[in-house]
Amino acid sequence: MVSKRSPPDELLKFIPARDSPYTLVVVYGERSIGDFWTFPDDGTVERVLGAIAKVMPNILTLDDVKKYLESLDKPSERVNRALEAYQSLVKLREVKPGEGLPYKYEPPHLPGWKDMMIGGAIPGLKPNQRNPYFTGGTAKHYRPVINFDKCIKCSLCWEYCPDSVFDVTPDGYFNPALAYCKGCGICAEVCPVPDTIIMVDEMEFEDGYGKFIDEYRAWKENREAYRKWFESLLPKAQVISVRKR
Amino acid sequence: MSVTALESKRLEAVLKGDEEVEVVGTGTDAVAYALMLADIDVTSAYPIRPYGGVMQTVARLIADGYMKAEYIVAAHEHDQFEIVKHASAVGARTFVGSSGVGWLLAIEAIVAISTDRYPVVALIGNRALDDPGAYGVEHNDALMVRDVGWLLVWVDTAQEALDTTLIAYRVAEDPRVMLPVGISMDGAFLTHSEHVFKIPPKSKVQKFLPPYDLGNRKLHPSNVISVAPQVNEDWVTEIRKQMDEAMKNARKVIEEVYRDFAKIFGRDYGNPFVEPYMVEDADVVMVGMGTVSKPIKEAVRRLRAKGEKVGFLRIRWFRPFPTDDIIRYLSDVKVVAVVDRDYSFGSPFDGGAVFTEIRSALYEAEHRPLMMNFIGGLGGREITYNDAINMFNMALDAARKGKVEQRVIWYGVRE
Repeated sequence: MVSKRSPPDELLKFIPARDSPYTLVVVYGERSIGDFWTFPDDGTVERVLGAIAKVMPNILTLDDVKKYLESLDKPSERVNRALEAYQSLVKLREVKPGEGLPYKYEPPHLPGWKDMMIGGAIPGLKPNQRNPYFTGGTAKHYRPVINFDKCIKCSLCWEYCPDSVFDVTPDGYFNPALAYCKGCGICAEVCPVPDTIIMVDEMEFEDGYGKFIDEYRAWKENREAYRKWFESLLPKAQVISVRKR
Repeated sequence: MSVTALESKRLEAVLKGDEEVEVVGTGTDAVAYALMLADIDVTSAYPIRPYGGVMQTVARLIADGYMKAEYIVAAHEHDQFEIVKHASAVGARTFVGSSGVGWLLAIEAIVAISTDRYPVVALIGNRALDDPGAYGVEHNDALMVRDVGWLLVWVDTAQEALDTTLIAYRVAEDPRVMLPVGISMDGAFLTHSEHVFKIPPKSKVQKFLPPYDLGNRKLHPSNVISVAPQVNEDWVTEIRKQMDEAMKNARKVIEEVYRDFAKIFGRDYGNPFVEPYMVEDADVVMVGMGTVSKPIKEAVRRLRAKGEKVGFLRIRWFRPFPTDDIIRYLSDVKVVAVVDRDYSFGSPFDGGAVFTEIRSALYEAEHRPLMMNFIGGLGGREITYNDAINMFNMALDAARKGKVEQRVIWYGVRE
């Protein structure tokens, strides 16, 4: 079950294929379920509860949901959101085995005790190396899009990124290796120039897991097209900081 | 107090010459001289008796220029052990120590030192655990770490303390081992009593003890590694298995190192793991660790003179446990009487830790002796020559009857 604005078929472009069939349930909404803890009171919780009552009444009935929500503050507002989802915001899609993003699961290789460094020490990555097993996968909800035309090369994004996502280009820009980005938005937060790093919902993009675009290269190849693309994304940017907008 | 003129002359001699010198000093002094000879890089100190003497002597040796080492005064014992763990990780030879509850306050860092595989050498000036407060010796402080990958050795003279400190570095830093060593020394009886002992020349120590080399595990900007990661169930079994193997390797390494020690310094300890004393043809053998050897050996000599077939076995290395030697020396005697300066409440026979381990070791032996356990000398209470005679008489009585009437005896407990 996901909470998104996109229809199920659109989502399947990003969801790794599975060996067994399953039901994909999309609850129409702004926030992903993963954002519950970030935005606790925007109605997502209630909508998801309404959706569960719709598709899995054996787990939770609509009456159960109402009873629970009526015990909280603003009960009528909460119950209405749940009802809204129950009545009109849930889309179901039966997914067949193999449908979705081609993806082959390989279990990680775990070394034997004779092959490991003693004491659990682990060889570190050399400078400019990245761990191929430690990509963000499909985990992120937003990605940074860089307006290189406005970038002042201050390096703050490069310095603050907790996953060392930014590569320094030969002419001193900072290009995000999107596969490693977890979507935290710190780069956009620390960037001193307004609307230069924007965080945009992952669903706005066609590229995805394992085949992200190279923003810097796209900008180098066609600055005009890149500028237009950036401007089209700007209205959709996540508001990262009140201070900056 | 600074180094006296006489001591100064002797220290100059061992640091520059090729001859050993004889001195008078305490057990902790002897360890301090060993640290000077082993050229340690970092030590961290926090005062607690009875270990504290080593700290004072090291401070004096550094202040007077006989030793070059970082001497870091810690905020408390946990800090103390964390400091040497980190120093050891960056390639420094380290020394640390404590006693009783101080040792236990550091327990988290102590376990991390062994599981991270740093060859730290520590002195445990054995002391009873509080409460109730007691300064005297009990072995439960050191025994508290018997299961977590520390090598544990007990010494009974200042000479042995000095020699064992040098041996400890060589064993701990061997690539096949890479585990810390805890040297146990009975509080007061050895930490504070004066002995005559010999300080070997540094030139010989350099032949015996190669520089500390962590190899590819040295934390350094030019060798980027991650240590002590969160590994959970995917890795922990393998990391513990490595430690198991290292501890087993230690038996072989200890034998090699004692052989080399005898060759270079001319002092041969014979069997490195245990010291057998008049055990040939003995009907009754007393077993103990540390300075309890003194009254018991005296009792053995006098009883032998009267024709009683008695002997003594002093355990040096408790970890790794000398199972083969225990079987070799004890399985054919009539009665084994273990003196435990410790307790293990609720253990299989409500006896001491050493008794329980020896009992377990003898299970696989072809012949099994009768076993008695004396819990005694707790909190620093003295075990005298007369006590040793009494204990032997009880054990001899059991040997004659072929039966042990009371398995565990709290020796001298007031009713």
